[in-house]
Amino acid sequence: MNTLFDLLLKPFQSHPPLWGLLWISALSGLMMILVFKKTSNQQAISALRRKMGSRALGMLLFLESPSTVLKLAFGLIIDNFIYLWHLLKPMLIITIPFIVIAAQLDARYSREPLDAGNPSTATVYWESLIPSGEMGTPEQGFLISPVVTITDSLEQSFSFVGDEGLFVFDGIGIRLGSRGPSGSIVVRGAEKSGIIQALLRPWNGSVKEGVLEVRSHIQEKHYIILGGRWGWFTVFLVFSSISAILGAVVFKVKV
Amino acid sequence: MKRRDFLKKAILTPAALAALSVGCGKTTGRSGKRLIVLGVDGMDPSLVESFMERGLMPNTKRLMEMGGFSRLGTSNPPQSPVAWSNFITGAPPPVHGIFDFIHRDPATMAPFLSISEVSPPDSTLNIGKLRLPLSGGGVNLLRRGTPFWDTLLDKGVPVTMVKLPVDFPPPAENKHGLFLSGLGTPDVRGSQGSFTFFTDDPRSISDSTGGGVVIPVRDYGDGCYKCRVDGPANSLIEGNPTMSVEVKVWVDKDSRAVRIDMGDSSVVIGEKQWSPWMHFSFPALGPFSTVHAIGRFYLKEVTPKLKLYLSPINIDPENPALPISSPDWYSRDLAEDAGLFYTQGFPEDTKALSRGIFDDDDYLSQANIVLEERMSLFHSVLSNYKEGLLFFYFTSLDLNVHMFYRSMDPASPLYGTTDPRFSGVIADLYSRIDIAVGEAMELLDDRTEIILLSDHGFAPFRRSFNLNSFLAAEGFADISSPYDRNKDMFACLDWSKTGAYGLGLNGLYINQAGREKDGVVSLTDKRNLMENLKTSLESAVDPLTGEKPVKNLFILEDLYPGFEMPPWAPDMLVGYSHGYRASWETTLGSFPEGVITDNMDPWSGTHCISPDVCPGSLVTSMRNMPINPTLTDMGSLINAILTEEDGDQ
Repeated sequence: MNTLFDLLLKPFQSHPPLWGLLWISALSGLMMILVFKKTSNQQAISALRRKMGSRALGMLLFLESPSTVLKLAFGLIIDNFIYLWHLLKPMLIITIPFIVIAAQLDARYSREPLDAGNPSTATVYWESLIPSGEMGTPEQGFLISPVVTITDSLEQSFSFVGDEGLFVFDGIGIRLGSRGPSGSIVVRGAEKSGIIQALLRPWNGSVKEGVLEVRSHIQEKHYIILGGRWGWFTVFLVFSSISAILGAVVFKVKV
Repeated sequence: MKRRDFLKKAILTPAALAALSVGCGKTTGRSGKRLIVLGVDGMDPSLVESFMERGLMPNTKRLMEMGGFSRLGTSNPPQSPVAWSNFITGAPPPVHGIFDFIHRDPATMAPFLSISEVSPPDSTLNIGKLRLPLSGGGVNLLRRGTPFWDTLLDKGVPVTMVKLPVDFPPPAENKHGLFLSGLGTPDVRGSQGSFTFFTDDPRSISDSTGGGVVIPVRDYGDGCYKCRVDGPANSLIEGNPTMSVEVKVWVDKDSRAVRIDMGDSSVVIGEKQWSPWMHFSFPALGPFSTVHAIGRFYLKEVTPKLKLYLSPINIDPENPALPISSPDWYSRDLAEDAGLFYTQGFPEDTKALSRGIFDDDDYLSQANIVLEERMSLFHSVLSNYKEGLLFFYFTSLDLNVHMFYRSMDPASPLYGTTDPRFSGVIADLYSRIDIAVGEAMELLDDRTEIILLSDHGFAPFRRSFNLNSFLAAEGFADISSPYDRNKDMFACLDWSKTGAYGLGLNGLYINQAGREKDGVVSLTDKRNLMENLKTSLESAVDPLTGEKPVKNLFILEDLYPGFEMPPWAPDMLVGYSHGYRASWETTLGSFPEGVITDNMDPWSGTHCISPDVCPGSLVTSMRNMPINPTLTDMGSLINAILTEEDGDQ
C-alpha cells in the first residue's frame, strides 16, 4: 500500500504537500463515487427516489386531507429506511478503502517535518526491563532534555529535535521523521506489527529487541486555505466530497 | 498562502485597473511616503546618549546623525497607559480618560483597571444551570478620543500597528488597517498576567504581593504529581465556576527532569529548562464550546522539592478566545509566520521575581524568551511591510529596566546584594533594541522615514513614599482601626474624618461630598484643602537623605484648565522626585507604618514620578526635527508625513 501511494504521489514530490493531499482527496472522491455506482443497486435507488418525490408531491397536493398526508408521510419514512438499506452495502464496502486512504494521508500529511524549529517528545515503552546505564547519543538529531525514566510503567521519555527531517537513535532502535520528498511517510512511532497494523498505522516503524513500542508527539501540521487553518482530515473530507459530487454529476450516479 | 497574501492577490487586478482608470497610481490624500515608527517603552534619553557614546548603539547613532535626537515630553503622570494614550489621541488625559493604571469608582470606592473592562451580557437564556448569553456583554476599551490613524485610514493609507499599547480590544476591522493589541491585553483569566507555581514546598514562597497563585502538590509515591491548571471563569454556567484542566507531572529525580502530560501531548524538560508553548483547551460547554489558550512551563527545581512554574495562560493567537487583533485572522497569520508568542500586555513576569518564585537568572531567561519572540514578530512584520505606516512596540526595555536598575545604581538599597554578573543587563538590552533599529534602517530610502520614540525615561526607585501614611500623619486622613493599616482599600479609615486619600501610582483624591461614597469635603473647602496638601507634600523632607521626596504636586484643574474631568479622575497628581516613588502599599490604599522606607523590591527603577524628571526619547531620520516635541505631537507628525496636504511641506 505504501508503494502504491508513493507511486500515486510521484508527480507531486517536488511540490508543496498540499498539492499531493488535494490530488489524493480528489482521486479518492472520484474512486468512491465509482465504487458506489458499481456496488449499489442504481435502478432500485432511482426508482425509490422517484417514489419519494411523488409522495412529497402528493403531500403538497392533498394538504386539505390530513389522513392522506399522514399516509404519505408514513410511506416517506418507510422509504427513507429502504433508502438507507440500499446505501448500507456500498457504504460498508467504501469504508474499507476509506480507512486505508485516511491512514496513508495521516501518515504523510498530518505532521510537521522534524527540524530544529519543531521540538518533539518521544516515549519508549520497554517490554520487561529498562536497560541500565546511559542511553548514549542519537546518530541524527539532538536530545534537548534529560531522559525521564518511569520505572513502574517501564517508560523512558525525552524531548528532541530532528536534523534534516530525521531523528535516528540506534541505541534504542528509533528512526523517526522522514527525509523523503514531499508526501513521504513521516514515521512517528514504532511497534511490533502484523499486516493489519501496518495497513492501519503506516506511520509506525519497527522496534528493536526488548522494546514494546515507541510513541512520539510531533507537531501537527495545518494547511492555510482561504485564510483558515485546516487539518489534513478536513482538507480530505471537503475536497473528496467536492470531487464525489462532481463525479456523480459526470457519471450520472444516483445517490 | 496566507490569507492576507491571498486577499492581496485576489484584489490586485481590479485594484490596478481601478488605479489605471483614474489615471493615477496614488490614492488622493496620500503622500506616497512610508514611515516606520519603533515605540520602545521606557527608552531613557540619558542612557541612549551614554550607550551611543560607548559604541553600544551604533545604529541609533547613525539614525541620529541622519536626522536628529531629542528629549520627548511625556505625559503627566508619566505612566505607560497615560503616555501611550497621549500618543494615540494627541490629547491629554481629560480627553482620553486614562489617568493611571488604576482608577476607582467614587460611588463604590471599588478600584478598576483603567484600560479595558469586561461587561456581562445584558440578558441570558437560563436552562437549568446553563446561562446562554442573548445580548450585550463583551470587552470594552476605556480609552476615549480619536486615534491619529483614523485620518490615515480615511485617506486609504495602509496602517499596521503591532503590539499597540492601550488598544485592547483592537479597533473595528478596516480594509487598510492591521492591528495587534499590546499593553492592556489580559491573560485568559482576565488578569494582567497571573502565573501558577506548583510545589510541594509552598511555605518557602512569600505571599505578599500577588501576581500569581502557589498551588501545593504532592507525590503519592509513584513519582506523579497531579496538577490542576485553572483557566477562565465559565460564564455559561450558573455561578461562573472556574474551568480547569489536569496536568500530570512525572518526576525523575535522578535525571532532574519531568515529563508533563496534558491530554494527548507530552513534553520533557530538565531543571532550568522551559517547555515550548503548550496548548490548553478549557471545556466551557463540553465539546461545543472550548476556550483555547497557551502556556509555558519552567522547571525551577526537582530536588529536594518540586518547583514548577507555569506562565500566565495566554490567549492563543492562532485561536483567540478574546479579540486581540483586527482583522481577527491577523494574529493567526503572525503566529503562523513567527511562531507562538506572548499575547498578554505585560509578558515579562516581574511579579514572579518580586515574589521570589524566580531568581535573577530565571527572570532573565524568561525575559529573553519574550524579547526573542518579539524580534521574530518584528522580522515577520518588517518583511511583509510594503506601504504606509508601520508601528512596532517593544516592551522589554521598560520592564527589565524596572527590575535591574539596581544593577547600575550604587545608591540602590539592593545594589550590594545584586550579583555583579547582571551589571551589563541594561546595556545589553539597549544593544538588542539597537539591532532592531538597524534592521529597520535597511529599509530606508528616499521615500521611507524612521521614528524611534519612547513614552518616558527612567529614574531610580530607592525610597518608597507611603502617601496614605503621610496623609494620616499630617491629619488629612484618620485611622480608626490601626490593626487594619496594612489591609487594602482603606480598610482602616474613618471616612467621616478623612479629607484626602491616595490610590494608584500618582493619584491623590479629595474625599469630596456628593462624589465619594462617604465624602465629607464640600466644593467650597476643596480648593483650600488642595492648596494645603500641595504645601504640605512639597515641603516634606526625607529624614534619611534630607531630600524632598515630592518635587511637584499638580492640581488637575490648574494643569488642564477648561477641561471637564470625568468622575474617576484624581484631583491631584503627585510628582515624586528622582529616587522616590509611591510605595506598592499606597497603590491599593493601605497605610503601612512609617512614611518613607527603603525600597527592597527588585522593582528598582521607576518613571511614575514628576514628568520633567523622566522625559522620553525621540530619534528620527528626518533633518527637520520638531522643536520641544511631546508625545501628543507625534500623531499629527505621523499624519503629516504620510498624507499629501502636509507631507509635501
